[in-house]
Amino acid sequence: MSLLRDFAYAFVVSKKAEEFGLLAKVLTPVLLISFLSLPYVAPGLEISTVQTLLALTYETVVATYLAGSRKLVGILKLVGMIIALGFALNLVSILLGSDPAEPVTMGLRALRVATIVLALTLLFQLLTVGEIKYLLLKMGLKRYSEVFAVSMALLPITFINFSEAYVVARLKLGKKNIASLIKPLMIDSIINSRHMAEALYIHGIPPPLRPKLVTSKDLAILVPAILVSLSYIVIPL
Amino acid sequence: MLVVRDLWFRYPTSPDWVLREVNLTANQSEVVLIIGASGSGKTTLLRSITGIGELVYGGERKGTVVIGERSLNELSIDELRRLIQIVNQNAYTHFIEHSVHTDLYYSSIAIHGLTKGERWFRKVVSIFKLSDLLERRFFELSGGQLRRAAIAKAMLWDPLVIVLDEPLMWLDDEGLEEVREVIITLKSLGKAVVVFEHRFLSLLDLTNRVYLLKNGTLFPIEHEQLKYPRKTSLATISDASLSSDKENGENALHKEKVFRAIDIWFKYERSSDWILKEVQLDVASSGDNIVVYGRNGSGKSTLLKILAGYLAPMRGRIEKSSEFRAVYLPQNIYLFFTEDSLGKELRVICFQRRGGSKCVERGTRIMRSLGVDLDLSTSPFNLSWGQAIRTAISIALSPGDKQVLLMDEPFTGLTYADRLALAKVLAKIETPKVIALSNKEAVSLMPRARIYELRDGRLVAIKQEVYPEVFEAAEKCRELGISGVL
Repeated sequence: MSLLRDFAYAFVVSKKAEEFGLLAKVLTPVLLISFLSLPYVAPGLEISTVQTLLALTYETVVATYLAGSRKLVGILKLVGMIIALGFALNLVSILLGSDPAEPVTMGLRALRVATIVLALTLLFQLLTVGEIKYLLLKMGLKRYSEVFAVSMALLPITFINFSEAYVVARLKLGKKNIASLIKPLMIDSIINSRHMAEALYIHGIPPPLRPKLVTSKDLAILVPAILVSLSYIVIPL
Repeated sequence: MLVVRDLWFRYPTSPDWVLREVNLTANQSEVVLIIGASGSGKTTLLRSITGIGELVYGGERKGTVVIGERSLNELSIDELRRLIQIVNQNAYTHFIEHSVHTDLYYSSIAIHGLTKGERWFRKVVSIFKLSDLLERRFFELSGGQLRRAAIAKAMLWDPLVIVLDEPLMWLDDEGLEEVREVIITLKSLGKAVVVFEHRFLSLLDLTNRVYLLKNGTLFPIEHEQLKYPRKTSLATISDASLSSDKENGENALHKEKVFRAIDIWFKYERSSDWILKEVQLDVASSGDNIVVYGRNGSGKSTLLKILAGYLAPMRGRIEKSSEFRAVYLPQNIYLFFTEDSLGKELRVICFQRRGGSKCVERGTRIMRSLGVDLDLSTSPFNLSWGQAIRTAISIALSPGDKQVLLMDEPFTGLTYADRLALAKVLAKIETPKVIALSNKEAVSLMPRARIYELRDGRLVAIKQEVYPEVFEAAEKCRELGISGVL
């Protein structure tokens, strides 16, 4: 459960994100994700362990700065969980008759996926709902920007209800039937959506303000991200 | 400021009018209280005076609604928002941005433009004393703080009329005081305030007029009608209606213990403070009613979840009888139901506990004895709040007596009459119960229970405080027909 809580918090914007401009907030995670995704989009290209670890270290530093040291443990647990999941999937593939990958290769691949996920969470920790709305509007996606705003607002409410529904289902029906919590949660989300529709009718969805594009602190977050991304050129395989 | 004349309203799904010939007036600096049983049409009235009923739900409205001397029919949505604002029961749904500061600031700028918006934002923050909350996320606020922030957001529009839908729901005694202060502030700002509230006793002194909504029609009533002329003694009431509770208290301590919390310490990962310290609690096997009273955030729900085995204490231990199982009834009672129908609810829990058909029969019998005489094909999600609580209790008890009910704020959302009716139901059930409550009015409904207060993480036995007015209000509500849900 605490893993899930940490996972949910990884998608909540940090208060410290206000220190940075929109450009740096978008570019930092996007650069990291693009760099780490190179092997997937350009077959034949590989990223070394050192490069992956470099990116992971940098992401951990940024995430710790944004979310505080206590969350670091949660973030690392998340990374560990993804690596474990990667191993588990590979083991299943062995059972299904596929050729097993080397354990080290498996570990490195899982580590890269974890680093990509972490970079993705940085995007959500850096950008406010308003800023994402602004970006979507600029891309001509007005309706999606509103749907996104409402979804992000409902996320914490759903999460609060999740732990309640979890306790109920676990005690009522046992651990094996825990999936039955989905129905009450879905119905509760529908009720909340209806209440939110009423609230939006009376308040409206304020159009996003033009965010600050650059701030004096941008370089502190952006430059290391550029350097990590350029490490592909600097550090040979 | 708000004049409603001969208002009728119905939804597209039914030919019946939900509201019939409703008349209502709320003037400047007035607080108007509207009371009524669940299902009496309070939410529909709220929707119809703002146009939500027609525009969001596709309903039909007849009659006149005038806000600030302008008819609702001629108002654009922007004009409407500047005249009337609503704060929902579920105040969470008012926020889009996670940060309270960002949400309120963006809204203010969007409404008034940059310069005036900043000025209004600062003014509202100052009036509603929000400066300490601005850096928080809306879902981290306590009930009272959240309600205050939601009312402040509504006030960014500087409306003439502000409608509060169940503003005291889920609030502890401190949150209640916060809402009272906010209503006094709104009144002093010249706003017409319309309050829909079940727990009206603590708001009566602030209100100028009271209306009773019954069967879709509003009836003006005098304050005096809600104040009971005779002071019934608590002892008389409790002996009469909660008598099966009388064995509790000291006697319970001599019975077999089914749950023992021994020196429990707990804190959340992100917190440096212990939320529970040295907590000791024994739950006896039969007829034991334990009330854990505490403010919102005091750790009541955490203690219930530790007893439930969902959270592990960091120090100390829980000892449980192997025969007994805990069942958790959450604050939001609809989260208890996991199936499509009441029959399936019973069958599933009975299958899990290997109870067979006898278990289903027992559950059906308990349901009927608690006043829920519904077809088993009924969806639990269509039940009223009161019915849902009784049904959840019946389902929980269907596998047999070897249960411990862990209940979080079961009286929330009920009228005084329905609260008393539920208290009687709880008193009648021999199954041991641990009930978390955050307001003393509700605690007084359990006169024979062992009462503990969670204060600074420690569980301290306290004496029951006497609130005879709660019983009097229940009796008055019953006379006025503000009950019947249970």
